[in-house]
Amino acid sequence: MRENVFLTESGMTFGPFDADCFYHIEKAEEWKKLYDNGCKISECVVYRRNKNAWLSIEAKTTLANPHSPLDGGESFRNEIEEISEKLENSLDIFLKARLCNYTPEGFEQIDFRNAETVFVLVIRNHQYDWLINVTEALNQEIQRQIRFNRLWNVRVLAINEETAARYGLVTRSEQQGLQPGSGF
Amino acid sequence: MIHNVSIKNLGVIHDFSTDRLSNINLIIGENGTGKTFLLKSLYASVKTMEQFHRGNNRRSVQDLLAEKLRWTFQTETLGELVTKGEQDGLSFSLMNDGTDFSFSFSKSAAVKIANVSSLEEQRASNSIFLPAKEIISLIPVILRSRDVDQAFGFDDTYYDLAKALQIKPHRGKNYKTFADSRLLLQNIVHGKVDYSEENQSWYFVNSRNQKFSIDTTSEGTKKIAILDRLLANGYLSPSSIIFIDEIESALHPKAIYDFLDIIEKLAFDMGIQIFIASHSYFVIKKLYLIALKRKQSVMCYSMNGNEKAAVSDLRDGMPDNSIIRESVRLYEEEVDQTL
Repeated sequence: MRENVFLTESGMTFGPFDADCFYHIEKAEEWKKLYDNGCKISECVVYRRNKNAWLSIEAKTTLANPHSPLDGGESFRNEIEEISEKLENSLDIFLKARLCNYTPEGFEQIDFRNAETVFVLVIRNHQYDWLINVTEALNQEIQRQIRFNRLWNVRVLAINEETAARYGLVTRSEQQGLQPGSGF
Repeated sequence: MIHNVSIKNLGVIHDFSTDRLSNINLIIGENGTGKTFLLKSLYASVKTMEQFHRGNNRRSVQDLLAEKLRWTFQTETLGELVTKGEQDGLSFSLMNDGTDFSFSFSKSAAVKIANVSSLEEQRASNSIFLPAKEIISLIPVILRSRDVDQAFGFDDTYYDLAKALQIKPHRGKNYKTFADSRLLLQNIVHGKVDYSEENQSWYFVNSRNQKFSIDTTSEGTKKIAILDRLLANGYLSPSSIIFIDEIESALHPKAIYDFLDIIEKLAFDMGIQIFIASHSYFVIKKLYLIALKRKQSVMCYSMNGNEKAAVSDLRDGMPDNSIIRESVRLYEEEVDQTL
């Protein structure tokens, strides 16, 4: 039986993921040494065999209001930039890890010629129509770089916990069988 | 400014009433739910009030209204405007700046209306209806079909607008908001439209003073140029009411965005009341942002066919509506494809 892993972040329990297809960037010691200079990264990378897609996942409890009357949306824009930076760094770190065979076995199956590269931002409590704005804003920020819109054809999604649960990225408390936080 | 409206049994509109109108009023809904009917009924009523005893015109309010309704809706008989199957007949009332105006008739009404409230005096302003399609290139045809042929084809919203556009821009001082708005409009289309008395034709002149035949000018440009002309020729004033049908038609989202900035100025800086019918998510979203920015109400009426219109204030958030639901549906489709 394959080992399942979970990861708790921003009040959400991500998983269960097949351990072979789960790469917890933050805990990867090799990369902590090299990138201990404040490099911002996302939570993890997950390979979805059925979609031949590898997902770089970032979690947040909440996000600033893009139409805030207090700062004209500046906090929102700053957060989008930061999230974008995390996802970009994570792409680089993950790919390097993959090239050096530091990633779990499951990632060896990725057919990079045809695989989809997906950045997923999971915001715990966010309404649908707000998520559309966040998706568009994040997509614009990411796509500024040619390597994302030409080389890797990155897709960007912002979803909430409910949607993440529906697509098996998150386990909600009433669904849990295994203990959360049993990832490495 | 119209403060309240009550309509029963007008076409597909069974029962519509509101006393929460604001400077900008958005009408949304799927095709066939009565958005344009609502706008046209308000327009016909307001124009009747404006034409009543204008100049030396001494026609009765009943005659003016009957003619206005026939030519705005282009029905052979007025009774055709009554909702099919309804025994009670059509009734309409509005209150405009302290003046009540109402009328009613049954499905057997032909060309006369018996029940019309009396008016004491003329509504001293010019209101206008901007249809979805631009009309500049059609002005000669519109005027001919009405003045000469007296045939249905172009309704009074087109005819009144064609007549209004013929008024030359006046020299001298203009309202500052109008002048500022004109600059913004001309920036959107990089030029303006004008009429050559010598050639008896309309043309577009760009920011480099190059002239182009109106036929080679885009529909969106002509549409925006219409408002520019009306702001230049003195037709509109602070007490005008502007009705805009499908504001987004032929306009790029950026042009819609800029155009609505101008609508915002006219409504909140000038006090002009504006009614907008739209299918566009961009329009709803932009008006929602305007409501937040101005901290003012922008009322939204979501027409639902047989059911009563859902009323919301965009200042409180985006309304639940099929336009929003469609954009959510696209988002859900993208999520499903990806995950």
